Amino acid sequence: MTPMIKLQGVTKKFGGEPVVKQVDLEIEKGSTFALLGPNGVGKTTLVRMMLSFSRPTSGVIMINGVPAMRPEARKSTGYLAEQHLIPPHLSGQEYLRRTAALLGLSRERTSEEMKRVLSLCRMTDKGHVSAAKYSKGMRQRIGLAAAIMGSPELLILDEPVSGLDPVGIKEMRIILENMQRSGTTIMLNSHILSEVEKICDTVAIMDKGQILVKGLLRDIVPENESLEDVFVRYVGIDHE
Amino acid sequence: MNKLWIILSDTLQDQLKRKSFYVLLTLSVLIVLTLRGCYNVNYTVNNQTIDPASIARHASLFAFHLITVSVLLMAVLLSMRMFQNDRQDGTMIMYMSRPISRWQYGFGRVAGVWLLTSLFMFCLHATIFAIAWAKSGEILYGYLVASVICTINIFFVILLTSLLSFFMPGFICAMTVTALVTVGFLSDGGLRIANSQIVKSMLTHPSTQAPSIWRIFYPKLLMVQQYAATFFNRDNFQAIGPVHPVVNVFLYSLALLIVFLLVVDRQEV
Repeated sequence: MTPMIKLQGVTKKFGGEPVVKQVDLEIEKGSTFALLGPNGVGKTTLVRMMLSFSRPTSGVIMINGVPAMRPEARKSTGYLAEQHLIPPHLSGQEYLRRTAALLGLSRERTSEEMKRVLSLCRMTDKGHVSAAKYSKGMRQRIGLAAAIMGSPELLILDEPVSGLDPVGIKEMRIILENMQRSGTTIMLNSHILSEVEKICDTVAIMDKGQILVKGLLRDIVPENESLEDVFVRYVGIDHE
Repeated sequence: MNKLWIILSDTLQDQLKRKSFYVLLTLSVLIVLTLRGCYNVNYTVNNQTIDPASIARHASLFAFHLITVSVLLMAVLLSMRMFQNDRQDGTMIMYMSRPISRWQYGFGRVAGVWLLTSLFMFCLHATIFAIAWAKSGEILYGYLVASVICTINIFFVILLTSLLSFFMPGFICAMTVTALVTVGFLSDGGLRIANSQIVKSMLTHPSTQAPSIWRIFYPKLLMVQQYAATFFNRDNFQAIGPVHPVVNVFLYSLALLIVFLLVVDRQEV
């Protein structure tokens, strides 16, 4: 079966300095994958390359069998950034309507989807408010609503719970679990290892631009240890 | 094509939400209202009253150039920070994380501002056309065609501003484009004055030197305006150099468009 995400020898250099070094990675369809690592090791750069925001210096990235730089690769992909920005002159509803138009949803489907995602993200009564008035948490919620619009096959989340309160984090987890059950492939970057343990089935630990270990969570984390213990063992406690 | 239209339509909506657009709109309406006064006056030269049709033609010619230049400046102001703002407020990510080609995004944004400013200019020209008709009974056939021809100048200016805005801050970019356009206007305007019959008759030894190469191949925005004006002004048009000004600006726009799309394609989002 074609993997949902496939990276082969991906390297990214900024000013001659490699930030991501020869990364090979495959993420299977339907899995919930977490990319873990300390700050500044290249996780976000990797995600940005998957979404074609940035070109790899070398290597190949395929999304569902399509080169990542081609628009079709993002046909069924939802994305939530760590600090999701919503143009301040738009309301949440306008932002979602534009997202639906870009996804090519019909008018009826747009209306249904808007209701569904706003309700899921508890933003129904705030949808008409200008994004300039949103708090960080509200922007994340609208960002998530846009990401899950049209029920994408692949959901890429960069620090998704950043800025959310504990209730928001729990709601986010429920949404992700529902998407997981419907077969969506989820790829997330996160620092909150306890959340990763609850949601993900596959993890990779990254350090200094390289993947140190990748596998099923149950294979990587021994029964008497936590993910945090394993993480610290790989990247070291005095990393920064 | 559908995605391109979506981005173009989004751009129109975005620009219509900007305060600066309405400031420029108000200023333009005030200018047009002021110009209206030119049609109400009886002019007398050497004790002879000038016929209203002639007044209307001259006043409309002045208004035509004034509006066209003002809209060029407006286009620079609207596009100088468009891509920087898109990057900062999340608009660029909104498009790029969806199945949109980079050329669709870049061209859609530029085309949106082009369409808006062109429509804006057309409306102002149409107002002058209507005023001239109402006040003097003179129908300036070709006035609106001339307006459409000048939209190529707007396209050139928006492309140049958008391209430079990837490499320099918005304000400096606007100043650079304004300076480049002004040099062209002064160069072509100077040549036209030097070649006019009045100036030639005043000089004992009029210059017979051909204009330098850079003046011939420099973007001919003013010449496009002057060529467009011949559609209603009954003047003869003489191009400088072997290339027609419309072709000159078209070729520059095409080259700019190619470079602009390449730059957009290489951008880090």
